[in-house]
Amino acid sequence: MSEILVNKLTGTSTAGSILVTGEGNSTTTNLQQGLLKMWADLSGGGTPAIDDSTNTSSVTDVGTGERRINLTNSMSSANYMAIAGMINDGNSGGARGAAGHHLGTQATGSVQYKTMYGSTSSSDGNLTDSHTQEGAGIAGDLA
Amino acid sequence: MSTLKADTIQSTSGGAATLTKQSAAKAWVNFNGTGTLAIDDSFNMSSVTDGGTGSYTPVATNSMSNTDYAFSISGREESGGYGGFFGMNDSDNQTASGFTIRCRKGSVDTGTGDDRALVTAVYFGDLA
Repeated sequence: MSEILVNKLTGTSTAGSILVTGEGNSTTTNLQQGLLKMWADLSGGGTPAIDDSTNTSSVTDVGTGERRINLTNSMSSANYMAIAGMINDGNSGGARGAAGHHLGTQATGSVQYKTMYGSTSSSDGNLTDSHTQEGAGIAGDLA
Repeated sequence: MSTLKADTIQSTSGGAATLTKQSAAKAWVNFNGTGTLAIDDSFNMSSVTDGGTGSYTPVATNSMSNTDYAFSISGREESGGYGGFFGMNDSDNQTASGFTIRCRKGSVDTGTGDDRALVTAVYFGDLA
C-alpha cells in the first residue's frame, strides 16, 4: 500500500473542495462536505461540561434541559445539519420511554438543543437534566 | 507544515483511499417540513418527498452500497413544546437511497404525526 504523510489537504481548483472516490469505486464524494464540523461529548446533569470535542469553545447551560454549544470556528450559515442525543439515567421520567433530543436555535456560532423526558404520566416531554451523558454533532459549511 | 494540493483523491488502484481512522458522512440534509417542504441545505441529496403529516423521505443522489448504513435523525420539538419522536416505523424499509422519517407528537398529544419546522438526517456508510 502506498501512503502519503501530510499535515494538510487543500484543493487545487477550490481550496476547500476535494473529491474522494467512494467505496464502490465509481462515484465520488466531497470530503469537506462529509466531515463533521463539530462534535461533542458532554457530561449531563445540572451543570453540563464538555468531556471531549472538536471545534467547540464552551457549553452554555441555557436552563433545565437546554444547552448551547459554542463553536470556535463558525459555520457559513445557520442551515447546517445538526444531531443530538442523550443517555437516559435509567430510573425516572423518560427512562420508561424514548428520551427526547430536540434541536433548539441554530446560529452560525453556536447550536442549541434540548433534552426531554419521554412518556410518563407525570412528565410528558418536559425538559430535564436527569441524565448523565449527551452528544451532538453538526455537518455543513464552515465560514 | 506540508500541504498536499489535489482535487480528487483515490487509492493507487483507482478506488477509495483510506483516511486513517476517519469516516465522513455520505449524505445529510436540513429541511423545513411545515407547509411546502423546503430543503435549506444538503449534501448528496436529490430531494425530500413529503409523505403526509410528519412523514418525509430523503433521497440520496448517489446511493449507498446496501441498506445497512447508519443514520441519525433530529429535529425541532413540536409547537406545544412537548417531546416527540423522530424515527422510522417498523413497516418502513430502509433502501440504499433513503428511508422514511416519522415525526410523532409526544404521548400527551396522542402520538400522532406532526410536521416540524426543522428536520435533519445524516447517513454514514459505504457509497455504491
